[in-house]
Amino acid sequence: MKETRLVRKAIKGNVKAFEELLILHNEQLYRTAFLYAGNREDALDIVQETSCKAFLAIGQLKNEQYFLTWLTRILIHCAYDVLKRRKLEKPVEQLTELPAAGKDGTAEKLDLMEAVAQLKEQHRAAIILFYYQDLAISEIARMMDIPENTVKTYLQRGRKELKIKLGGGQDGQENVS
Amino acid sequence: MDKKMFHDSMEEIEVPKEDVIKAIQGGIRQGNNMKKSHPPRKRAAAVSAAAAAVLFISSGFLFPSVPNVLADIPFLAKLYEQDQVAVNLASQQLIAELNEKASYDGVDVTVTEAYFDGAVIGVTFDVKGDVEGAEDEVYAFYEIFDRDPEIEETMELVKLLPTEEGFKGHIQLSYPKAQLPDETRLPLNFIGIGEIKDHWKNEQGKWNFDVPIKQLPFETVALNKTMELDGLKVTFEKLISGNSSTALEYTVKGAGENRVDLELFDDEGNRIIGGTSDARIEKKTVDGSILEKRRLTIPRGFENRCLEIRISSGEEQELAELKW
Repeated sequence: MKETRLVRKAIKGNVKAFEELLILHNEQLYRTAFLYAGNREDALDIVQETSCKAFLAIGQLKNEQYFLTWLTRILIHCAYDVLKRRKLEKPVEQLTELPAAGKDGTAEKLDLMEAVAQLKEQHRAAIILFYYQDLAISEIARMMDIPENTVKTYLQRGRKELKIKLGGGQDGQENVS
Repeated sequence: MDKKMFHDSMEEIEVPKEDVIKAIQGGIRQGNNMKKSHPPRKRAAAVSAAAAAVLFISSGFLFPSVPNVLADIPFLAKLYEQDQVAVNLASQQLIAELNEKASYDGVDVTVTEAYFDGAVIGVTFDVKGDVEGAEDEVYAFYEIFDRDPEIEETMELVKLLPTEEGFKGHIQLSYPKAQLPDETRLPLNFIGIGEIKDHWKNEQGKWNFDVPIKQLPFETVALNKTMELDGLKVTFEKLISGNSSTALEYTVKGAGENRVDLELFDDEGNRIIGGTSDARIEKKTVDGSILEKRRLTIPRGFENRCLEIRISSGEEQELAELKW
C-alpha cells in the first residue's frame, strides 16, 4: 500500500518519492540488468539510464499498479541500448563476472544464470519476465509488443536452449500456457 | 525449471547496494537536470488554454454562473492533462460533439466528443450507473480495432475522473493504420470499467462503439530525405501537419534486430519530451530486407516549419533537419 502512495506521489512529480520507489526495487533492477549485461559496470549503467528515463517519463504513467512492469519495460530498452554500445567491446559469451560457484548445489544455479545470460535477446526477455518478474503471458505479450503465441514460442525455445546449455535435465513438465 | 529455482538463482547475484543506489540517484539527478534545462513551459499555457476551452464549452451551452465555470477549470485541465491537442482544439471549437450510448450491466457509457487531427484521435466519454470501486480508483480498460494483431498497441487503461453524475474519461491515440481516411469510424470497445480486474485482459468488449471521426483540415508535405547509418536506411517520407499536431512518416529499411531511436528538437534546439508516439504502421520485405513504415506523432504544431531529428542506431548517430 505504501508503494501505491509513493507511485502516486512520484507521478505528481515528487522526486523524493520516486527515488524511494527505485531504491525499494534496487535489487530487482540490478539483478535484471545484470542478467542482460553480465557484468557489474554495465549493469550499473543500465540502472542509471533506467532511472533517468523513468524519471523523465513518470508523469505519463497512467496506472500506478503497473509501475514495476512499466519500469521493467524501460530497463529492458536501456539494457538493449547499453548492450549495443558494448557489443563490439565485450561479447556476451565472454562473461566473466557471474558469481563463482559455491557449495550446496550453488554451481547449478549459477550455471542457470550464465545460460540465461547467453540466450537470444528475445528469448532471454521472455524467460526473465516470466520466471523472475512473474508476469502473465498476456502481460509479457503487451510489454514486448508481440502476440501471446509468440511469447509461448520464445519461452519454449528459451527453455530448450537452456536445457541444451545445462546439459539436459533442467526442464520440467511445466505448462506455460 | 520452475520459478522458485529461477528466483533462488537470481538471489545468488550479489547486489553492490551502495553503488546501485548511487546509480539510481545519479540517473534521477541527470533526469532532473534535463528537465530543468528544458523546463516544461507548456504547463502554464496548458492550464490557461484549458481555461479558455472550458469557458467556451460551458458558456456556449449551459450559461453557468461564474463560480461554476471556475470550479470546472481544474477538472477539464485534469481531464485533458495528457492531451495538449484536445486543449488547443477545444479552444478553437474544433472538437465534434457526439451522443453515442451503450449500456451493460447497469452501467451506461456515452461517447460525448471526438476529434481527428492529422493522425491523432481523441475521444471523451461519460460513465454513469453502478460502477465498482472507490471514487478515485475507477478505470476504463478499452481496445481499438478489435485487437487487430497487425496493430502494435490495441489495449489501454485510462483513469476516470469523478463528476457530479458519474465519471468522465478522455483517451488520446494515434491512428494506427497506414492510410489516413478523411472520414471513418473508430472501433472502440470498453472491456471493463471500475476497479482494475486482472481478468479484463482476457475478456471481450461490453460497451462497443464505432465512433464517427472526421479529419480536420491538414497539410501533407513530401520530405523524401534519406539517411544511412548502422547498416540501415532511414527515409523521412512525409509530414502531416494538422491543426494542433504533427505526424512524421518514415521508413526503416533493414529493420530487424537493429533499432532506430529518434530524438526531436525544435528550431531553438530544445528537446521535445513527452506526448510523442512512434508506432509501426506497415511491415514488409523488400529486396530481401525488412522495410518498416512508422508514424511518429507529436502533439503540437511547428510555427517555424522546422524540426531537427537526431537518429541513433547502435553507436552511430546522424542529424537530420526537416524544413517544410
